[in-house]
Amino acid sequence: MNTHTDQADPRTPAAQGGSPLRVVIFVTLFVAMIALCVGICGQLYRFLTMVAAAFAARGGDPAKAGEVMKNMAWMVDALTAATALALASIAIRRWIATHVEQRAAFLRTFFLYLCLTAGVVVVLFPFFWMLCTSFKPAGTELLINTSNPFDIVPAEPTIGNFTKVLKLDAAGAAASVDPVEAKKNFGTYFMNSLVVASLAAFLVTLFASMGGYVFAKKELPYKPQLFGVLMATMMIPGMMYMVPQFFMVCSMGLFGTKLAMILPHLASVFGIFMLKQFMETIPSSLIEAARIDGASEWQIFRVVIIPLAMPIILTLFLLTFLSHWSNFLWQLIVTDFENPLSITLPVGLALFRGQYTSDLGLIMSASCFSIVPIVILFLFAQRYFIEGMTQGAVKE
Amino acid sequence: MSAPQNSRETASSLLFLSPFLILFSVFLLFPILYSLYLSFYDSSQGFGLTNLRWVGLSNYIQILGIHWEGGAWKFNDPAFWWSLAVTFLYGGLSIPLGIAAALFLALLLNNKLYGKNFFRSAFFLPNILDMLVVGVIWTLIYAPKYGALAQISSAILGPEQFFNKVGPLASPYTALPAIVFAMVLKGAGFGMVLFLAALQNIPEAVYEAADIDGATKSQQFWYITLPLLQPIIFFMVITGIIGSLNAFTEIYAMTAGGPQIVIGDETLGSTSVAGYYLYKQFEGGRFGYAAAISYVLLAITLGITWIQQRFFAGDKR
Amino acid sequence: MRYISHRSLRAVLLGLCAVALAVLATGITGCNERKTEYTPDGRVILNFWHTYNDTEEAELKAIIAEWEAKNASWSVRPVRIPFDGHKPKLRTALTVGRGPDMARVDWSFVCELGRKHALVDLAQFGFDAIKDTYLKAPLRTNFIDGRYLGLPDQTTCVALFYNKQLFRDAGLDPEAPPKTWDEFVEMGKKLTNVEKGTFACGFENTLWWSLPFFNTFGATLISEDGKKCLLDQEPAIRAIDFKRALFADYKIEAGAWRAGSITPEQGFANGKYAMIFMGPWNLPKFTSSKLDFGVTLIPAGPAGTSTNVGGTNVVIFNTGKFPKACYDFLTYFTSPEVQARWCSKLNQMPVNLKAYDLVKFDDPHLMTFMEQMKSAVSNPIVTSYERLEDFVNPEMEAVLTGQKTASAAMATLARKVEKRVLSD
Repeated sequence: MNTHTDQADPRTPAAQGGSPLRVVIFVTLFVAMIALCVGICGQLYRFLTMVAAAFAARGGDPAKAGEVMKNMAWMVDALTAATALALASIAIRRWIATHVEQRAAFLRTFFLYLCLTAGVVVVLFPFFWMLCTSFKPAGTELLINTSNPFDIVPAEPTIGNFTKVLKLDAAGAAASVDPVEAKKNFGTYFMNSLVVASLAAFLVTLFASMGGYVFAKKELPYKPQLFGVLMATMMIPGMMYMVPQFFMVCSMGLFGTKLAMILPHLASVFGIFMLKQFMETIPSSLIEAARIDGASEWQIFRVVIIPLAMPIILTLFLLTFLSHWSNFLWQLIVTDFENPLSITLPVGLALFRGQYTSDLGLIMSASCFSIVPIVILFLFAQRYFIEGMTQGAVKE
Repeated sequence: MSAPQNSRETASSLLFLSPFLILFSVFLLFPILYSLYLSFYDSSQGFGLTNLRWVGLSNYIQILGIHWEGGAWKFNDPAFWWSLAVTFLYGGLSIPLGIAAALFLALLLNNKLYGKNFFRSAFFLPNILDMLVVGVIWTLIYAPKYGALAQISSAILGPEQFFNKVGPLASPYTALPAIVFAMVLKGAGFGMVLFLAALQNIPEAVYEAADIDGATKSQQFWYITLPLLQPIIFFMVITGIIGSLNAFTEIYAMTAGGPQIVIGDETLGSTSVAGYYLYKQFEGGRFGYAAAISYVLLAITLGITWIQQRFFAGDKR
Repeated sequence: MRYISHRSLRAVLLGLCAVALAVLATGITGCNERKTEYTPDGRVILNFWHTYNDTEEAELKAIIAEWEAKNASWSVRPVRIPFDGHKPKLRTALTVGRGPDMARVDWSFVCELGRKHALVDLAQFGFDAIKDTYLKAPLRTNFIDGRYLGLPDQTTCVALFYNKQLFRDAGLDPEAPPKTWDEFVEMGKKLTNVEKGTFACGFENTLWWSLPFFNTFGATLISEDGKKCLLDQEPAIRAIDFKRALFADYKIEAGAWRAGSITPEQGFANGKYAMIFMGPWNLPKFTSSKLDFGVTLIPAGPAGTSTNVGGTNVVIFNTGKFPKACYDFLTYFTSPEVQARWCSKLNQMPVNLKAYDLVKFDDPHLMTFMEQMKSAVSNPIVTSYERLEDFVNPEMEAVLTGQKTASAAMATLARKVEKRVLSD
């Protein structure tokens, strides 16, 4: 990579104006950027054509889809080249436009962007790998592209895994006359999980923010002691609670209901702790001001605390949603399998999986489906808790 | 404060806390006490909750005790003590690394930067993946010969090196750090969001005042930013401890407690953390023993948290 | 002044305790136990928790319909539960008395269920008269402390899969796979090509997957009375040492057992491992991936060829009110004619010896499995099989990685197993 650094790039005439070291750094970063861009875009565009090909050859064999992909390969190359060129021209134009004195700052930003991009690649690689694997036919999940080991996009994709998960090709169950059996499908399980996870997440965040507020900002005799007890209970691994909680849920006659799935997990000490710690960073002067204005306790909570804590509340909501969305063991033991309305998604997915399947592609495509609502939720919440933070909540 | 105000404050506090407290005492207090009760019993006689056999302290003795064997004192359950040590190591690696990574990301993305929302979202995104899926994926990244890491390292260093021949998960010395690395990458975005949110609550006037006083950027970081982020750091330390104690899915998905290492004549799993060891007891239907282990763990961590809390409380104000 | 607030606090805390106690009290009075259910036409419903997949479930329903046509007063309700998690599901359900009338469980679970007094002894229904019609090795997994507590409904074992193309590449006859372990090593040396990354074999290192080694060396793991662990005896030590030699001395095993390595299944599917142990469940997968492979008997050791036993059993719970009806259904379900039909349709091995002559498979590989099954030896029967694996697997790994000698590892292991697993 460093071979280019000896001479300045002739295409950057303004380079002659800057110090040679800066030019060298710029060219190095520039080359790194192009390499990164070609790597990322090549894989992304290939992935897109792969998805298109897999759908085009629906029902057909993977080889046919591979054929389609090969025909589209030139498009991938062209698009990658175009993107790289566009990025290159932007970078060079910015470099030229930047005043000589600000070039150091420019290089620092440039470097920062490259590092962040590389970090994003590392962090998001599991997602990409999951998506790619879910398109691989059974048995080929670990086949490696011998010509380019970095290329993880399957050469012969199939959408068979997705249709299998959706049970679209199981003719028997779909045609069942039994009304109970007919409900045993992906859609029912999905809706059940959605209800369970969102209800639980809503209640947990509500109760935890109320509790967190007390522990952070209000008076209560024995408050530190009570908090200590709560903290101590967190140290006991959750699986110890399972049997007694199951026993209690059953004795309340809730076996096989959605209430049974959420009720024992509503008292989230973790949530209280998280919100308490954050609410402590909210200046007390704001609460005092509201109190002087004659706000009631509930109004203070709703108008002052909740909006300021929104980023964290949404984070807790997302995490709670997630944990209920993927909580297999507890939902398994309280499920009444005679009643499809009590089967949630993780349990339902285990139902199809059967005894001897270790099909990576199948598992990954199921995971793809199960993260869809979370991604949607995230994209929606992101407006508040990622962008919201840039607004600067408190300015005194 | 005057008396009526004080009691009104207490009443409103209790009102705010009551939904949580009621649920807590019904659904957590009983199971906790029941586990304590269970830790004095042997549950191998039947499935019901009634036909348990009273064994007194023998579960605790089996966990904590030592016995004389072959001319030396030996632990009754060396695997437990070992799992404790592994847990300490796991926590000791993952907590500071996790906090450092999160803080680094937060400070980086708290700047005025074009497209920072994209980067924030991207770094947070791994948190929404299921732990089991993350485990499986990282196992494959680390896989020797065929994994992504082996491919990349072979391209740079040639085929005759550790990542290509053995792989980080197959050596007892690198397996735990490899898991920590994967988990830090997965969790950094969560800490980042917490830090970012707290950074917003630091009034800009404080920094402006510091600027006027001539404080350098690093002084501002150590004397203004860090102390104000203390509640969040404290939170991350405590949840890190809890996370290490409950660590189980990542171990289950990536190494199943192995690879084994022989110390003396004991064969011990190099990634067998306490949570995983507990799960193994639980899976084997030894509920009484598992309950006793979790109480021993509770006692140990309470001690640590107490020290931790004192340290942080003394530091606070 | 503060006293007031303390009092109100105490009142609230007392209230909370009262609520908790009230809940507890209702809990102690017991769970709402299952009532007998009836179909609209007055038949008693028997709940059967199974773990079959879609095609198996469809077949099961057909068989139930047949059986119901012959029995006017009973109806079987099949309820599918996930195989992953059927153990915790049953354990917790039994804890509160909400178990089914009968269930299909993994072979290793029968012992725990039996020793925790959850199952019905089949002798009272005259099982002794028909027990010899079942295959010995799978049936043996139901024989707990002198009583038959279940019967096999599906059985599997492993055999040796080999990649014909890799045999050809190594200049070996693809129609003459190894018959003994000596031949296996001999051919293995030719099949291994470290440069190309291909190995003669790849093996798991868990106890179940290692049983073919133990069994071909004639090793018994647990004594008949279930009190002694015989892993420190000569045959077992030789078996495990042979497995070590494959990896460490002959260097023909890929180290597929190491955490993070390519599993035998994946390695075989991708043409990296020439020979693996595998069960019949992966036949369709390998066939569809256009792999040129064969299946042969496990190479013979001092005790000849042999294999392990997998699969499931069906059991009847003593909480149900109609065990006899359940028994009638389950024996019908596993009777030769029904088995023959089930197996031919689903490409599975029969559990009933009499069904052996009635099934014919198009797939020659399945016939190899039928042959291999006859040499199967019963698996070790312990209360918690998982726990046995938890003790055995690490010691076997210590031997394989050369950290311990086979005899030293097995000596410690046998003592540990006796103290911590068999005494339960």
